[in-house]
Amino acid sequence: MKPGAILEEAGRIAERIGPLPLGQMFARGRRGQGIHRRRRTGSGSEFWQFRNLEPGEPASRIDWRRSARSDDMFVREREQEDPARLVLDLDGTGSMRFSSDPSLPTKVSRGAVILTALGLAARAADEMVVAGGTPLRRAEDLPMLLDRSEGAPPAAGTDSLLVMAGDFLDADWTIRLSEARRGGAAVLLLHVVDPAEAAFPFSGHVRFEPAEAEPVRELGRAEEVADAYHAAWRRHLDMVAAAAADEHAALVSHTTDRPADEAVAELAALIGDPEAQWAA
Amino acid sequence: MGGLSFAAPFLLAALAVLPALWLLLRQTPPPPRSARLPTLILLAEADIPPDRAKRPPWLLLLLRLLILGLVVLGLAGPEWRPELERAPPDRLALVIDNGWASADRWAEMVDAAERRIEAYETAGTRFAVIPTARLDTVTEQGPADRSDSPAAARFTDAETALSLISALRPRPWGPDRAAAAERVPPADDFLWISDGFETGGAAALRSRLEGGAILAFPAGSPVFLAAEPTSGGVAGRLAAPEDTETPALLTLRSHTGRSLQETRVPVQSGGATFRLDLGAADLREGERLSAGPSAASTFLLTGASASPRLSLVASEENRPPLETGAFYIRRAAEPVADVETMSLEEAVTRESGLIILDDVPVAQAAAEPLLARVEEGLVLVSFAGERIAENGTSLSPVALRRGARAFGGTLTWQQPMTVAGFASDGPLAGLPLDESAVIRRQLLTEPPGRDVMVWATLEDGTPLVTAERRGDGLLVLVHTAASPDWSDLPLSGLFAQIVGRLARLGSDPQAFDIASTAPWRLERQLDGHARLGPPDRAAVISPDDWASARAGPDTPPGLYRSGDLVRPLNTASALPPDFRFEDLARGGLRPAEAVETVRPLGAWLLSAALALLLLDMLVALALRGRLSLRSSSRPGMGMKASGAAVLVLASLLSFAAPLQAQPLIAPSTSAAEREADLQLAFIGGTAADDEVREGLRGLSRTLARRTAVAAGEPAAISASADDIGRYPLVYWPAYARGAMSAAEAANIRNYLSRGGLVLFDFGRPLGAGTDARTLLGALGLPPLSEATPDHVLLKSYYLLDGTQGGALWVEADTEGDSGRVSSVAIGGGDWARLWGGTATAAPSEREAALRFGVNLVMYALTGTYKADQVHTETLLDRIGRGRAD
Repeated sequence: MKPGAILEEAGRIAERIGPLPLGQMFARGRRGQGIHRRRRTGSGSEFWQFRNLEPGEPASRIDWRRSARSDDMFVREREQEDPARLVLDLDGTGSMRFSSDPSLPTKVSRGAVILTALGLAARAADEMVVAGGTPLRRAEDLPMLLDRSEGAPPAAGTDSLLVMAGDFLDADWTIRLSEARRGGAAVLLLHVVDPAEAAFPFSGHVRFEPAEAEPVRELGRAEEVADAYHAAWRRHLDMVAAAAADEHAALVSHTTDRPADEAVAELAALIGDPEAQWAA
Repeated sequence: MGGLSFAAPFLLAALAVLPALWLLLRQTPPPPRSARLPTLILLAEADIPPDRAKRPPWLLLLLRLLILGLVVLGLAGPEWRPELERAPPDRLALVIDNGWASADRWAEMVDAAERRIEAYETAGTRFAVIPTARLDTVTEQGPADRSDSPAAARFTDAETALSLISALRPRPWGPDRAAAAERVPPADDFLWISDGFETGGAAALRSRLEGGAILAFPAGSPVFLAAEPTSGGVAGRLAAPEDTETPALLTLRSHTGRSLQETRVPVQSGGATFRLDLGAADLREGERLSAGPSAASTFLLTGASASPRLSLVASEENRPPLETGAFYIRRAAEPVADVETMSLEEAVTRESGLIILDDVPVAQAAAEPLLARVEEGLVLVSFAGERIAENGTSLSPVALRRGARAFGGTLTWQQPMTVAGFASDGPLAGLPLDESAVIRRQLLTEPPGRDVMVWATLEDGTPLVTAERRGDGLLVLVHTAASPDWSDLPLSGLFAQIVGRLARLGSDPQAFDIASTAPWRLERQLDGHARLGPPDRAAVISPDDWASARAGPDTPPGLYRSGDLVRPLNTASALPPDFRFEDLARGGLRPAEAVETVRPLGAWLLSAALALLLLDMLVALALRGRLSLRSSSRPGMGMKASGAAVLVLASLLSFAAPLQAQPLIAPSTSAAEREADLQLAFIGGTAADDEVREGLRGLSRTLARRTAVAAGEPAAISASADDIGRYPLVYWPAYARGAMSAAEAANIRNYLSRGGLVLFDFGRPLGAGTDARTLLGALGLPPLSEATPDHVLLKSYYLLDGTQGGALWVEADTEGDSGRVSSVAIGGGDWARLWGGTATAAPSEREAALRFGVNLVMYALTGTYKADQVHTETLLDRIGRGRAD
């Protein structure tokens, strides 16, 4: 899917779920103050605006550099920053770039749609969104940033809510998960699954082309290995679920033949749930 | 001797390669289906079974070997030869009739011969081919073998015999079986493929072929014995095989093959006479009469050559046409020339080779350009008349005396004279004398000079036609008028012949020997299938022999030219005048055993291979998991694939089906089967059946001649017939049948409501005693009204003023542009009898009846399509007024 199409579909979904404030989960004062920009004058570190010095204000507040350019005295004001960020992380490895049928989206583009929808919804609530390790400035950049997020450190701290989307096939996702948890971030996992991966609808003589670096596999009668595959698939699901539980991360599973709205709604419900236990 | 054989047996060696193919196929399994599945890495190596599909299943291998085997066998050309009833002879003499009677079924005869040769081919039989019609001396035998002691035919192998047979053509003359008998070499067996009709030499051939077999292919089409132009048409005789019952269909065709006229001639007991009424235009354009496909069923007519152009210059007169000479000259010249009427000035500039002047005195000055053209080859013919008698003319070959000489008047004692004779060296030589051509006035000449030729004289020796050569051209003067006031000559047949002869001078003024001395040379030759083509030899008939010339190998039928005359020599001349078809006696010959055709099997084998190939594709698909008859994750795809495969298989099999052999002998189509779709119908079962049928036949003929409607044989139907709907017009002879049952009425009502048209003919004007109510009451017709002269029915083809037999009643409100079509026409014209000519009536009355009939059929077929004819008068009026403004 092209970034434009992703943005369009995500915008549609985001509109449906409405603004998604992160405040709920941080209102519980779980981790103290983090950086959470509020787009208003406050005690942040970033410049917000100049204003005239008001009578009675201490002279030390005067911004001399600005005031020297005119007759008035100016005070530099900073943006109010609250310490919460939505960090989006999308696995873009080869195994994600797969769909079993031309009518289905690839796993990576479906993941991008869901994460973009979350990002747009959070942005609509004036929350700060980080994707691919970069703070989001323009909403249109989100799909592109997500595309770049592969391998970039999530840089999640105590002020962050990290949403990791992927198929969790490669080994290093657990490392990233525990790193983020060690840093104090709350983590949501989105497991994106292609229906063929769950069902294994193969029979007869099939030659399996490699998705990443694995060798070519040729099965004389694919139906013979169906049982073994199903067992392996169940083991994989169990492993992902166990990893999530270990790290107190919430896990949402999404199959690409289902509409993206479902996953977005489920994630949004988890984020907005004041009673949520998962990020404790 | 029969069974299986191969056309290309060496190809069977390829079967030896099949085991090698087995090995090859073992090594290359069908390609697997390709797919991706990232999660496959979840499977441990141990879970994946060793690869077994690298080797295709042996059943598939066997299938493919079978396919290849079938292809090899199919290409090797296997043929199934049926068992023969008799052992093939070592030497077989094939006698084939190829006279005119063979043309009809020539293809079947050749086929029979070829099948016999093919059946014996493998046994090594040698064949001699003997055609019975005398050989083409030039093309087939070579000039050296021209002698009358024909060498016996040689024996050849099958291939040569086949090519000999395919080179044979039916000849447009009769077979000479006696001569053929002498050419038959001694052989072990004989086969006579005959045309089925007895001829003079048949007995000799039968005895020569004693013990042999015979096949007969009797033709069905009638042949011409004679045909002669008569005044206003052609008459002649036909001979047909005894069992012929269908009428012979005579077609007059132009030289382009266009059918000008068709007539059916009833054939009775093997013969028929016919008489065709032909207009002058048809006579001139018609090249041939044909009754069938063969040369003998074709009669070439005289008018086959292109007609010369003729300019007619007439003096201007305000007299009725019948009193002007130009009228008679035109009528006489039209059959032989393209006549154009023009002024003298125009005539000078025209290219035509002949100018006829009807009583046009030409002064010296005006004559100069004409005389100059005469020097270059123009022929000028002047007819005398009052004006020339008074003024003289410079275009006369002789010096004329002033005034005309009159016979038989009150002040003369000489009787009107007739033509005494024609100069034997002139173009009029040999014309018959006619006592009725009485000449009352003539122009007299001064004593003619030496160069002047007198072509015709009167009884007292005075010239009637004089001529003089001027350079390359001719000046001709006819000393009497072309109009009937000077003589009766224009009213006689002699006049037409004189003008005809003179008209022919136009194309070659040098050739006076039009009817006499130049030999006739073959110009276009007729072949056995009645096609005219260039001659393949120089055939010459001397003028003396022309009358007795017979079509034959030396003088083939066709068009012969002498000077500028072209005459046909027809195959009919080769037939004796009392010719009748007689079935060929079998004598000591046995009927030939049937030989079934050799059946090639290659196509079947290849089709089977194709079908198996499809099966193989299906199996391969199934092996790759693309085609699953069990349920799969996406059932639609599997079903689609198998559905498409089944479709392809079915369509291929349906292609294979037409490979089946066609029936080899198709029954010859009879004339009755070609009957036209459109028929007129009448209510039959009455005493008047014959009359009515004849009447409708007459109407159908008229329709065919004058309109684009080609109606077939009239059909007699009952009033309750189910298929009444297929007839556009039903004639109800109400004078013979004056009542109808309720069921019949319902049927007729139904017919009428669906657009049919019924003509009720009461035979006499409607009124008391016709009992029209009794008949028509049952129909419950809508209101009727009398047809006014404005009714479409009277305008649909001809513009008629009225009809015979009093008022004609049609449905009310069908007049003019109401758009409604009357479904009945009720009257008392006694039309059927007028149409058929069985009623005694004046020709004009019959013509009026025919025109009404034509209108009625047009009305039935086109409805109110012609309604605007009704307004023609108004429209023309309007146009006229528009111009005047």
